[in-house]
Amino acid sequence: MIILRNLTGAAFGLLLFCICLDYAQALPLFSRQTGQNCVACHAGGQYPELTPYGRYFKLTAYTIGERTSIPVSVQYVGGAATSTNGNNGTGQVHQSGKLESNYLFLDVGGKITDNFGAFSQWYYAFDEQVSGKGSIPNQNQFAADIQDWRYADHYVGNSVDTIKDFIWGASLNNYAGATDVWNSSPMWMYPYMGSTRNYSTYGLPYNSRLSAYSVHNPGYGVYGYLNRNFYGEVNLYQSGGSGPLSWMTYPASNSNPNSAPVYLQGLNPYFRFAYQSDEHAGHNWMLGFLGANINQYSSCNSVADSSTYRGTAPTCGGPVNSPALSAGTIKFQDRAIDGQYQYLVDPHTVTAQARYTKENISDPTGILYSNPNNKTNSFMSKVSYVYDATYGAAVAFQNITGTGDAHYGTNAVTGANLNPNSTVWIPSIWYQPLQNLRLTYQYTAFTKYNGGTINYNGLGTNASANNASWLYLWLAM
Amino acid sequence: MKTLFKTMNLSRTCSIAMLLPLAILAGCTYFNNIPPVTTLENPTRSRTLGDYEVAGNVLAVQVCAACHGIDGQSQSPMVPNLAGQQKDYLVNQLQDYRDHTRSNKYGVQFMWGMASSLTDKQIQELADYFSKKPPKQAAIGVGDVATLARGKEIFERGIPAQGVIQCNSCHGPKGEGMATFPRIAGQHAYYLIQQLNVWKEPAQKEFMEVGGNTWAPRSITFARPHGELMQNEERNLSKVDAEAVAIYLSTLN
Repeated sequence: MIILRNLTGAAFGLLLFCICLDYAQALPLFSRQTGQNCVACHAGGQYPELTPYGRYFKLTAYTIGERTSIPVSVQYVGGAATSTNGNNGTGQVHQSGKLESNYLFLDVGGKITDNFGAFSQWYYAFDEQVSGKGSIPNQNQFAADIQDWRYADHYVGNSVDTIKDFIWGASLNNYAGATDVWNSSPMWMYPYMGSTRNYSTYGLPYNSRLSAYSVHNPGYGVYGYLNRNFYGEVNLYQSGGSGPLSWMTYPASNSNPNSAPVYLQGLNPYFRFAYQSDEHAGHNWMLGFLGANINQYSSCNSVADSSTYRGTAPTCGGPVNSPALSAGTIKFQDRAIDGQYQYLVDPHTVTAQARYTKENISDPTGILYSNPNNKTNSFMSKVSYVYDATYGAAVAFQNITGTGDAHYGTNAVTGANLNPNSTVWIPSIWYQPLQNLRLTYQYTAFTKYNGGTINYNGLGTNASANNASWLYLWLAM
Repeated sequence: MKTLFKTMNLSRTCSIAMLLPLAILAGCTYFNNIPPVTTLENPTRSRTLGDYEVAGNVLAVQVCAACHGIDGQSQSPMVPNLAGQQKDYLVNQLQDYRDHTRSNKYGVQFMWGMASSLTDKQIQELADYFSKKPPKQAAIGVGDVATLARGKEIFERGIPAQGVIQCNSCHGPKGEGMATFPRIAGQHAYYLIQQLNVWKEPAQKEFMEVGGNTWAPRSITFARPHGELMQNEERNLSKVDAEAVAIYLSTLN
């Protein structure tokens, strides 16, 4: 195991060395491929948010430009996180503002052939907090992050034809919403980055099943984009298990329950339809409808291989990370409307995204929930302004309401089930002195947590005890 | 027996330890030395740059059209309409982008990369494609009466006292352009204002304006080698007058 870890380190080092061989090319992969500045594809330079051209680039399978000689780039995220009230029953490990590395990303892919390209991201998390398991020491981990391998073609008709312009393609990816191009679906929505030490920096403590990083399983789908107005896609997700696509969910027998595999029953559809307006005087907007039906097996995914833990691992009855196939499934049905608005005229960039999700949860055998049926309604939104692709500010508002259930915890005094009702504001400001270097200060302020503002859990914990601030650097090269 | 297995495991680990870096190095070397081969399994719908076999009209609809529109009519005010543009002008500008000599802000950010590997033939074909498209319908209902009147006056008579020559003397009576002089009629006002400002601050340090060539901050001298005739006009036009003439031009058919 140690040798393997050393090897991984050596491989990483070599890749870095290869990249450094050609110092002048130390720009992110897509920028080298197209020769364009980051602002061409990213609205006001605030990666990962896309411009209309960025959407075109992704939908045509990352194939514009010249295939790069080194199809690799890296990103680094590190900074200092603080929490307001320590580990006061919040489940968050106290952060005192020490400077620490959070993530190292490895990106490979880009243009492969005329019609085939990839966005393939892998991450190494430094000292990642084990979510909701305050007693387990932080873990390092290497894992498959967002994968989006695409085939696309683009037909162009005459201006008088009904079909003037049609992009169609297929994607092999590993998260519901990885294919998104509007930053309003789960995987790509703000906040774009969170600290590995304090999950409050990501926002809401509970979310619908169709949310960022929720369905880490291989999926394949097809999509079409007509006249750059009408968009539709359908993807089917299934368990990666130990099959040929299991690399997309790596590490499957993992050391960190944060990304323990979710075992899906059969094929689980994710769909999305959207109308994208034309651009007028720099304004464009999108309105869409998306959803997913997810059937999930029970699994002992809160426990990991104790040999990889630096501290004591908790105990679990069954084999690690194995699905309980006979225990039935939890059925999640998510339906959402979403939208985006953009104003892109240099030096001003104004963008806004929102998504409202209704979710029905059916858990008749009581795998995760105490009630057989639960509901949640959640609203996620963000508005941002960037000046001259250098100075930016954003604020996000997220809210979730739902039925009370033991899944969300119980009151320490009354024993009553808690509900997920939480509200959070996430303001941030950033400075981008170089197009591939961003310094951000992000604050997370909870006004409601588990249904309450003051003493929501009977332990005297206030919603604000979960607040967190994070000053971090994001470098891509 | 156990020892033997252990030894085997160790030797296997050692060989993997040696082979893996070698494989990675070999991979890097291989990818570094891939010649600019053609990957044209789909030559009529390729988005490949740096391949002389892709025809200009294919690049026009598969690559350029992403921002400039299939008919050369762009939607963003930052992106110029190319429909009905003068062919000679387009050829000159594409060559200047390719040679990195036209270095206004958006030119560096967006066009240096796109044009850097175009062949002369592709440039001719691209210029041909867009110059033959019918020009975009002019903007209507923009600007107030006084602004439009001022713009018309500058377009037709110039501002002799400030050394500003009338636009129509080179750009044609209707702003339709002439050979290397671009069509300015029906162009986005925002784009025209940006271009009129290029000579105002010819040397500007802009860290962000680095194209896909290096991430190191450096200063770029804004320039338009084929636009030097415009130097006096642009320097002597006040901000208000530049806006007036740009808005007026956007309304010309």
